[in-house]
Amino acid sequence: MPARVELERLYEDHAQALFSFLANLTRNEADTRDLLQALFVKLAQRPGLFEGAREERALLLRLARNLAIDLFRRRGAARRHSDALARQVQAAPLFAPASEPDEQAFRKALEAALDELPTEQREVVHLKLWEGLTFEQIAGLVDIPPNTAASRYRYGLDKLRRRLRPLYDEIR
Amino acid sequence: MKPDDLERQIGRQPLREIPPGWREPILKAARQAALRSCPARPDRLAPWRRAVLALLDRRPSALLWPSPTAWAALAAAWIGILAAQLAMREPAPAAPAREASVSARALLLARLEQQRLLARWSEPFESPALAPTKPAPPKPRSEARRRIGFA
Repeated sequence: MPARVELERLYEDHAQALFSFLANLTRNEADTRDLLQALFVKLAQRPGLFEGAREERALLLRLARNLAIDLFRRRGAARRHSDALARQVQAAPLFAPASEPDEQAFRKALEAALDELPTEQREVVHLKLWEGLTFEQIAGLVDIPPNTAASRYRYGLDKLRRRLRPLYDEIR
Repeated sequence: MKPDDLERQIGRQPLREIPPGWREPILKAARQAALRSCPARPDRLAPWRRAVLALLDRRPSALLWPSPTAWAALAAAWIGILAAQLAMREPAPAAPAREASVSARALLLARLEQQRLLARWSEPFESPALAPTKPAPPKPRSEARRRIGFA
């Protein structure tokens, strides 16, 4: 079992990144909390999880992603559809609140545009833009070839551009 | 591929911070799960419990598993004995139950008949040859022939 201080260190070092990643995947506050707790429970129960791991953050993101995929599979496609409808009504905010109205409007539009992306594109966009991972690192984390990771990022970003370009040109 | 302005603008958006109230419940749940999954450490137990646990942990293995080869040989011997016994056993009668009951009834009847015969034979045997003989009365024709012949 990782010592108490080790669990706390993992939380201090990685909980913020895991929270953001899970929140972007699920777009649901309760699901994000449940998945984060499940992840730390798994860490506490499996002491040798980090043995041989080169990058702690990448392993944790991979575990978080697997937990999210398990949740999606358990619920099934029908439930996901109803969740998508529910998210439009009460989606958890993904970005920090902005003081300026233009910035706030841009973040709201970006949240809506991200929500429209397929999950496989959204996770790659998140890992690239907000985690700063390379396509090779993303490919290892998501179990896809690097070219696939790059193309998913390109497709996702093109959609975001198309959606956000008018607003961006307006407030720039 | 160099990022354009819009791409940089998207990546600059600050993500919301994790709610501070989540930290303690999540870590508490993780610690409780770790305690449930790990057995109690022996050094935290009382000395007598430690001794009992150590005995239970060590003695059965010492008694029951001293030598895997010996146990395997014993098991093989038992299997051989069992196989020999099965091979030497006479084949079970294949007759149906009804037939068996009929033959049993016939055996019973035969037994009763045998008992009846034995009882009859054990009665005092009075044979006419062994009975005291009486001189038979002469028959008229033989007497007449005797009288004629000796006359």
